[in-house]
Amino acid sequence: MMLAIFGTPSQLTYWVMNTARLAAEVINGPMAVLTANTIDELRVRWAERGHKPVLFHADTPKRDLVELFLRIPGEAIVVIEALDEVVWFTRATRGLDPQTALRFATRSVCTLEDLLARSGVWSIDGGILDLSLVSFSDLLIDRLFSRSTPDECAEMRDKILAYNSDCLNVRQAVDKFVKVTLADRHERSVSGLFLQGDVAKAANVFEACFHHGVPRSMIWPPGVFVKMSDLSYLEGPIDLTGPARVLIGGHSLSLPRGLWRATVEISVSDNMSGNTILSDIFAEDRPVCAGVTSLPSKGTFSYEMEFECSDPYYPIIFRISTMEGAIEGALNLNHVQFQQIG
Amino acid sequence: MSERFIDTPRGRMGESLLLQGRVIRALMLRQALSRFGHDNLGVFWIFAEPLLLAGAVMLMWTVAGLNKGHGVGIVPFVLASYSLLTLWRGTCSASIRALRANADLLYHRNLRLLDILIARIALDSLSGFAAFTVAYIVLNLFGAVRDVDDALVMAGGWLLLTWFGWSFGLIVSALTELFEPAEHFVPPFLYITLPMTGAFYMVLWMPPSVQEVVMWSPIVHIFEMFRGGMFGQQYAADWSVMYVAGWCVAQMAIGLPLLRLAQHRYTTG
Amino acid sequence: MTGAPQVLIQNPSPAATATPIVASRCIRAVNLIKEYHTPVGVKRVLDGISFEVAQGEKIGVFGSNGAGKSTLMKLIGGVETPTSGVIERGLTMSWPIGLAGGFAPTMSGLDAIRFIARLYGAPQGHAAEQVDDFAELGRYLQLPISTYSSGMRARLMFGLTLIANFECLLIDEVLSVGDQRFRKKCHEELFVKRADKAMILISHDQGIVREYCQQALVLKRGRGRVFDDLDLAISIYRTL
Repeated sequence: MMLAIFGTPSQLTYWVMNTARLAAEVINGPMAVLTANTIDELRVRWAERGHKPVLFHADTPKRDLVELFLRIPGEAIVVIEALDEVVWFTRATRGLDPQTALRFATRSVCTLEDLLARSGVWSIDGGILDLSLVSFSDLLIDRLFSRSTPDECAEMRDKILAYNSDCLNVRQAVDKFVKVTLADRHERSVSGLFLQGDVAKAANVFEACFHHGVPRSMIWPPGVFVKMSDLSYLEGPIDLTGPARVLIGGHSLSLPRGLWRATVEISVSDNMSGNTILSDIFAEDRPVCAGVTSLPSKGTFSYEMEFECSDPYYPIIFRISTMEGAIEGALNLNHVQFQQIG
Repeated sequence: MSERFIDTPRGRMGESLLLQGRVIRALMLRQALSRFGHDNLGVFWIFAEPLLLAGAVMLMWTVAGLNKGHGVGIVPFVLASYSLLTLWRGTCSASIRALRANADLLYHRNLRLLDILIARIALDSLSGFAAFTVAYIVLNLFGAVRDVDDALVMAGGWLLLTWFGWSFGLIVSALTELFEPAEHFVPPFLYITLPMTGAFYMVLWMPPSVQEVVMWSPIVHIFEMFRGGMFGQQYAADWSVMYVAGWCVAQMAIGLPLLRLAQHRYTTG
Repeated sequence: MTGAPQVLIQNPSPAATATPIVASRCIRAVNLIKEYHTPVGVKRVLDGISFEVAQGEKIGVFGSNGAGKSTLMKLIGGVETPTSGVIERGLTMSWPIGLAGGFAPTMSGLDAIRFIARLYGAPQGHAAEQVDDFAELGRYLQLPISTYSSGMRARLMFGLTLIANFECLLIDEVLSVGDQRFRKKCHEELFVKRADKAMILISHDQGIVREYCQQALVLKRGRGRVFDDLDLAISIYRTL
């Protein structure tokens, strides 16, 4: 027997995993938790597991694994939590910095999204938090273990309620579960772990495009990009003076699968001697789009680039490089808008 | 124009003149070398040309049997006309795009375009006058020409033409530099104004109404002055040095600023 | 050189007698702009170039073809005048070293030496000796320049610049012509014997600029900027 639980690396996912495992072990006995994000990983772990039944988990599955699961039938849970929940949780549990946490969160959300279309998938998000524990355990048993005997079902429900004693609803149960998991770390600074400034803004626009359906469009503020000279986050205009080089890179966040159009808006000033810039887009290290633009002496202008995101596992990196040495001039990246066109 | 050049060290007026004298002398010697070369054939031809001309004219007129006419000898008349005209045409032609032709020299900071133009006309004038003098003396020895009436007036006329040609050359240099097509207008201009030079007639040969017209031309004044010195004032119309000087000053007043403008606009590429 | 070096390079002009301006001991260009009139309109070849070279200082000038190097040299050399801007020449300045202009082909090497010596008031005999020490032309000095090989011509032209004792040398790529021996001698004359002179060094040779210059002017499409950081200037020039 294999139970598959896909989910963002966040508290609800882990609580759901724990709860589902409690229930499943009533039927299967002790289970091995098998985490894999690629088929290769899955193959290795599968061989290592021995003869135990498996609870499969993935938070950022690659495209090959997603396609494999889309083809095979069976019960599966997909938990997608809000981005900021994922971000603070990964920061608290893995000590990630805000951008890395956001990158991890977008990769997870974007890769998991495709699984929602699979038949037999039970999709869970933050909406479930207000359910009472009794309703939740009924729902869980109904979705995953509908062929079990009434005795088994009763035992499952008892086990779930006993584990989460004193909790009226899912929210309380998750909170209690997390406090146990994170111990004092959780107490210290949950609020400080949420995103701030441009990164928070970026997370919001990113999330908005999941809730409001098509057409998907989001505007990335400059603060999520990196100034390549010192790898600091972009803040204000960049002095062009210097040899031909990569000026800006980022944001290294995943986009949902599909065809995209990036609209780049930049402002140029004091660029009397001219320059040519190369804008390119990579899916991690694979170039997917490139274009050359001649810079005017000053002014604000925008240009478009179209590219395909075939596997959201690979983060999208947008770069701006000068193609000639420069003796003057400044370039400000106002924003990059990503719009899904297919 | 906000442009301002400061070249140090500044010297006193006397030093400046001395320097300019040295520069012009160097330029003239350079000019002479490039014109005449090292073999003395170049110098020889400078002196031979007027003599050849005089010989040819003498031959022609003797064959035609017209040795005397209108009171003055034809040989000295032609010799004078030829020498004056050569100087006048030489100045004009050499002024065409003089800036461009001498651009490389201007890298020498103590040398100005004006120095180049002065040096060139000075050499032209000196060599022309020397050639004329030698030819005249030779012809005089053979009895082909009379003694001159007033050498000082002749020299004055020659100097006046030098001044006039130089000041006119300033305008030609400037205009040909400022407007490229202008250089094509110079040869036709020289041809059309040929009758206004007095090279082919003496004013007194003309009817009074025509005399009035041709005496507007400053070059006619110069020619008359030169021939007046050569043959005697009774053969010459009433030339006026002041009239010609007025022209020269006016031409300089136009030419110098125009040349400055041309130099300001000047580009090699 | 003997004689009175100070008077040599002076440029007499009407203003000279009126108010003698005591310029500081440097070559200074302030906001030079040069526009050419072309059939398709006004083309700005230099746009706001400023730099300063004090006595004994050396500045390298970098720029790809068409960036305005030769125009800048003409402005500094005084052959052309800027459309606007100021050039103050507080040091006696050479013509572009190695420039093979201003000499009629019929002139002999000796004529050229005499011309330069006369122009700059140097004794002719000494000048001829000095030039030939460098140029090693021997009896060729008597022959017209038109009969010289390009190497001989380059040696003569470089030698001529040694006659006058300039305070600032304008050098345009002279070190890239000629054979190894010639370059070595040029190098010796310029950077060893004249190490105390100011220089404006237009060069592709990044090594020479790095070794001898305190600053570099990088030209790009008529614009220019002076860098004290030579490595930065060179890195920019490499990718221009």
